[in-house]
Amino acid sequence: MGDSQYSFSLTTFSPSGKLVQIEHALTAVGSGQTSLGIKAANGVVIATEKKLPSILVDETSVQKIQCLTPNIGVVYSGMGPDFRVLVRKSRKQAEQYHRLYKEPIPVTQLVRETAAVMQEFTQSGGVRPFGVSLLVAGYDDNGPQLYQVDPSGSYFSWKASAMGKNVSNAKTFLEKRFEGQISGKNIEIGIIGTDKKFRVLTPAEIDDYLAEVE
Amino acid sequence: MQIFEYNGSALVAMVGKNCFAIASDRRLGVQLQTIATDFQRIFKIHDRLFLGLSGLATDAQTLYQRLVFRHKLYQLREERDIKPETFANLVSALLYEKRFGPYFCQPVIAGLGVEDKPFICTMDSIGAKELAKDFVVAGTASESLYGACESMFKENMEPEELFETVSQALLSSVDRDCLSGWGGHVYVVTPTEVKERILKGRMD
Repeated sequence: MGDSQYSFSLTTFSPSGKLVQIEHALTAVGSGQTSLGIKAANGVVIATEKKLPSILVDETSVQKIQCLTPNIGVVYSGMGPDFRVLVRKSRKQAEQYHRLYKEPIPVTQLVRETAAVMQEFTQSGGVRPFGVSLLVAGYDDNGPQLYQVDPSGSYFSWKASAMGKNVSNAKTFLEKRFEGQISGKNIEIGIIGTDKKFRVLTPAEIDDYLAEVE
Repeated sequence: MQIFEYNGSALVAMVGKNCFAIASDRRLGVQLQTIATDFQRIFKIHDRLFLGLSGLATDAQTLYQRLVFRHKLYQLREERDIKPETFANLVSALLYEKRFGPYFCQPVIAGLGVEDKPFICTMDSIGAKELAKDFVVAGTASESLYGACESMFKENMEPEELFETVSQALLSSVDRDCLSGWGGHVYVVTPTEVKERILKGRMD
């Protein structure tokens, strides 16, 4: 950021040693729509609530789960526009890796680079931290992997995780609060298996699975 | 004065049965004057990947240092050794970055890939890769090397026979080239060990 008036970082330490802007960013995430991911022995599943502001919104135009590479997908909780920016940057980083090595980028490397971008925005002039936490699901030579990346830039590998509203009750929440109301139209599910290809299930497929569960 | 023939060099890599051999001459010259007879042209990147660099010696040394630098960072980040095919792509990308002011080198890459499958390739000074299943050659003696390898090569040679073949091909080719020679340096790499040998040929 060239303008001298904004050459300082807006994320500064408080006397108690906290970065208050990041805490607020996590609050923004915590009030976002729930998303969760589960790592199985032979694949990873990520899902998110797709609650739209009005029934008039064309739900097919909203894609909360996105592909970063053919074998890595991502979902978020928090601010959608910030998510889109991160997806764009991550896709570019994955492609740059491929351009250099002609190998698909390992999940850990992509997560590391995305986290580095998020960290940059907590220590640069004139920018604010991203208001999203990401759940990255991928399958590479090290098997299935699930990572959560926070606005601070820290990342964790999970066997199962949830983010957004009602984090602690996420599973119970889905079982109790949405019973009978989940359909292919208000949840999104992304899945990656041994074929190493990440894809989002169509609403019809989700409905089929829901019918089986019931 | 041709820049690629300033120092003189001869490099060859050959594929055997679950093994490969990479060999070079040992002469370092300044045009017709011989400066050193123990010059190192083949470098180890890791236990299963070797890089030979022919052409201008200063560029070969700098390029080697840059590649080792990149590989060390790769090892730290990815916590594994780089695969030969991946390394070849990295070298190709690095060379093309200098498209309009290139390194005057021709690399020869030889390594054991997944499941110990031997991999060899060479490329020109701006990164055009040339993969081969049998052998690759580079340097001022390359034309003689092509002929010698073509006639002496057999598929699926065991390490000992591969060593003999590579050595004979190298020594007979450098004898026809005044800018390379003064012995040979041969590495034969199998999944379990690396055998390094020095050859004594016509010392001229």
